[in-house]
Amino acid sequence: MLCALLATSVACALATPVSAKTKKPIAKVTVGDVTIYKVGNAPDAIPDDVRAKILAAVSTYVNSATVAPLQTGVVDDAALGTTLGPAATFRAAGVDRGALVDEGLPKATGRIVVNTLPLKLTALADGDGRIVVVTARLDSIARTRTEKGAITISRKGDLVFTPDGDTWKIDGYDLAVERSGKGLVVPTTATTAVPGAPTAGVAK
Amino acid sequence: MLLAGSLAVAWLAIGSPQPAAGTTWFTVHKIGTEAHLTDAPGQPFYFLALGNDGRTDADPGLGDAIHVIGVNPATGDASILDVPRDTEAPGGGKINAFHAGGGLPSIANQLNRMMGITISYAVTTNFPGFVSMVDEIGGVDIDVTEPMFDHDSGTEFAPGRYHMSGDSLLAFSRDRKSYPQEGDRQRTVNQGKAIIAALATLRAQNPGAAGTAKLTVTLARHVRTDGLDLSQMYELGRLAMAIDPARIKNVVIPTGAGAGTNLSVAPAAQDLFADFRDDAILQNH
Repeated sequence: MLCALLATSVACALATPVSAKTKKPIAKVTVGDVTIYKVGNAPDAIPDDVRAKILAAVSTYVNSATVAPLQTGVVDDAALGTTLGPAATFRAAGVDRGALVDEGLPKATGRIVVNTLPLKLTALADGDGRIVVVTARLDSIARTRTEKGAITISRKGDLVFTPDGDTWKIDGYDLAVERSGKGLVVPTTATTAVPGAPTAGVAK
Repeated sequence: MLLAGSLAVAWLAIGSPQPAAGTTWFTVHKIGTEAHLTDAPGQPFYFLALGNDGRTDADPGLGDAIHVIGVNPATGDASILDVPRDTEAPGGGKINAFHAGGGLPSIANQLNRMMGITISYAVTTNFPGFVSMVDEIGGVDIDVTEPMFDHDSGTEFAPGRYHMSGDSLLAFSRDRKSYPQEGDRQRTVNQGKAIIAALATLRAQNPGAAGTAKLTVTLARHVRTDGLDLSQMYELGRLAMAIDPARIKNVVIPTGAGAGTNLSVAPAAQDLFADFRDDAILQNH
């Protein structure tokens, strides 16, 4: 895996084999295009603190849902729970889990590389200029090796954030994930069940 | 009478904003305090889509197109119960008059009593608002299954598939004289069909999460709300877009002869209501 292949946002972990570094976050995300739909005349930009919280939440999501299972064999549900609002938590515990997290994969024996394109953010602002919803277009590819060979996890779609106290949490999502490679016993695909679903994904 | 039903999708409905800002297309009320969506995201809920014949924003008008929509977020399903406007209300008199007398909360209360449910949201529009909304989404594709030729409503449709403008869909939704036997009952069913067709049209545009934000803002410029904020409108819009129109059941409630020109709620309706209120979805009808 060449880190140089990576798109705009790249992170490589020097875990070969998986060792003391296994729980160090790997995925890093950045912001790309930003669009604001507003009822009134403001704001013209997403406030810095909101951007930072969205970025942190996306990073936590990718690390807990994809990187952690590759490192340890299990999803970091504790960390994941800090990023999900009630609606997403409800769906993620059921039929959407296969689309939301990469569970049941073999542990990585090689370096884990996560490429994430800059997030396309779309914000919805009310008449008072308050941003009440932010959607983040996620496009990430994780690659690593296992004892049986290489695996690739591609996840694309939208994460929908709403404010929750002082944080922003994922309140909905439209995600499609493809897992492939010789390291998998059975390649799996999980996709959104219907276009535009607030929270949808059915493992096939 | 106006098809209230498009309201089911109305706040998702709009592409680029064309009407003058400030024009009110519809009004949305959050009714009651039941936990749903954010607090209980998997819980079924009900909302009322109502078309009124008010000529101005200040005139609530009669509630002449009455559709109670049950939504089950956990399954992504919805069902529609169509209520003929002349149906007797539990409180006496015709159900449509309760909107003129007490607005959305009043008629929603009567429907709650009739069906044994709790309506969480209610939305209404009038003729101009309806036409504007449909035109804004670029029209609606809908199947006409029987000849519809009625001067009063303006229908001139041979059976077939049509791409209808706001005016045409309004005519389709108002025509009862093309149905000598069923009359208003069939018209009510057609209004439900128009709701489903509008939803299908919007879903075909596949706006996604970001596109729904754009639609929400556009609609927000043309809506009066009570107890509902922008993020909740967005959330409802996303939820509506998650519903597969092909799986929506659209059923008019059974009615019989009542006092005067009223229609009574037939005894058979009780089984229908029971099916509806257990999980908001019709399984046996």
